[in-house]
Amino acid sequence: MNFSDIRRIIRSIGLVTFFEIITDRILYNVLLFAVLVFVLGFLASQLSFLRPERIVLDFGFSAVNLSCSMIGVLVGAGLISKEFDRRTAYTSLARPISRGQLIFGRFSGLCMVLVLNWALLSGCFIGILALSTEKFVDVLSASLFVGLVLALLQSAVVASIATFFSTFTTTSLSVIFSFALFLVGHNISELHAMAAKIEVPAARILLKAVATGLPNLEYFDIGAKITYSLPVTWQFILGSITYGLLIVAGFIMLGGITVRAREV
Amino acid sequence: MLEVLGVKHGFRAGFFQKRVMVLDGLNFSVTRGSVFGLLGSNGAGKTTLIHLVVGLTKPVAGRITINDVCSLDRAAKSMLGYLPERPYFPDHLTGEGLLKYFGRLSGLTDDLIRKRIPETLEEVGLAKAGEVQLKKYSKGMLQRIGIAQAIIHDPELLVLDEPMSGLDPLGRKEMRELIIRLAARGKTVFFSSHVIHDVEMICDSVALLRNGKVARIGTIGELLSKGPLQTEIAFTGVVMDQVSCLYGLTSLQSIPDGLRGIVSGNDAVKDVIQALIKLNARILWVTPVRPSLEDLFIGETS
Repeated sequence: MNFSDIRRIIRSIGLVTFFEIITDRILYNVLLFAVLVFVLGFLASQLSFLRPERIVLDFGFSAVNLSCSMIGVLVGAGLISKEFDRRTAYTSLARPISRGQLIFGRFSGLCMVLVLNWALLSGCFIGILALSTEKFVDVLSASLFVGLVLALLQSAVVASIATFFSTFTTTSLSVIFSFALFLVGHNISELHAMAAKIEVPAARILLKAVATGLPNLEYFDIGAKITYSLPVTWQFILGSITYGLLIVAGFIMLGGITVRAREV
Repeated sequence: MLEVLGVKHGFRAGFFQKRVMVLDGLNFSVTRGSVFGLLGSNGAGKTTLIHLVVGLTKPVAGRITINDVCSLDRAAKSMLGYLPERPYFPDHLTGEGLLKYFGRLSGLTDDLIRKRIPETLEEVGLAKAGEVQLKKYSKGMLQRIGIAQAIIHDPELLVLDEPMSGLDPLGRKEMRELIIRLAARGKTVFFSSHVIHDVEMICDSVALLRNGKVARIGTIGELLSKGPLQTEIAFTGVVMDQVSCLYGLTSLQSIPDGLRGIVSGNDAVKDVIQALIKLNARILWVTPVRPSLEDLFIGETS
């Protein structure tokens, strides 16, 4: 089997997964949530006399960021386990394809949905921003676009984490584990600070190891820089993108290894 | 075509992940072009064996080959088509979309897929439903599209897990006819079923699984000939009291023409007939009673 055959298989699985997800009710619930946050931000900005565009910016960016990550977790958590529970995976794996190709194909379908969702919400967000402020051009900073790209990358990272969990546990447990990692991942610097304060050496080393080993989602969070239009360095952007892609690759590979060991 | 050699398999269960054996040293082969039925009660290991045959999992011990290629090998998977028990397919797809998807997973080119889709839909009787979404398919149609996805790449071996499960009598009849048609086209069919009647009607050979072992195997004729031989004798000209004490004659019953009884064993038939003639009875018919596969199944599994 050559590379183009593998690519063709992954593309086929990805497309079927993409259309399967966009017919899923979860997606629309999350989109509705994001739209509600947009509207809430717009209404709140009308009540403010001082820098109303910042409120729209904060609410809007949070809506894009959260909804992308929520889709990543909620859909990724059932991406593989449902395939095995419904035996759809059996029909696919009885073909000359590997389990790794199945996972990668399914994940690529989820990524297509994330990109579509991200593009739609980002468009809505920028549209609302344009409607709500007269100083629209001033608000559109490079940090905002970097922040949106990093939000997409973060959603791919949490989706890969959820997909990894879904290779060996149930959908609900995958959601719980993934959200837990999402929350901890946004507080890694707190963990490091806490570790520095602990006096017991063993506990300090252990906490430091945990803080270092867990995915650090703070690399994708530049909310404050967007709100205050602060610059973001190229080194930070490149570092965050590389870090994100490495985590995605790592979790998908781990998922491939786990699912190979899974008994059917 | 299909060789199962010393296959053992089990699952890890419990806190200490102890392996519980489900299949214990299976040995049999399926010849090319035959329809092979796998019978067994719930938990006998039929689905586990099918998962091993289609290469979904690796046996703990032993080997399964398809045309001398290990079942785990990609080449072996290209030679087989598989329909799982109670299959679920992405229901947003149409029948044609599903076949296109599985055709690509089977490594067919897009040109070949375009050629094969109408042929395959015709084969399973879904020529008019190809553009209908699977969510609108009935249970029988889903089973048929399941067969279609299994044969889209024209495999030599078809592995069907409970293909008649959940179908009404008409659906089962259609499925039987479809399997017979596929076998007539030279496909080797290996399938499991609970419905003994279906197995008896379409299989050339049968294996009976019990507690993870092959309890009986052979052609239908061979298996039934090994069952207990019984003979039905009907006669008239005597009353029930005269023959009720005859040795070997059991299950005596009145019938409109006279009386009817069952005799077990060849020697007893001769003795009973001679005794009846001595009593001036007139013999109406002597018919060997062939045990059914169901009798054999119940005898083996109970």
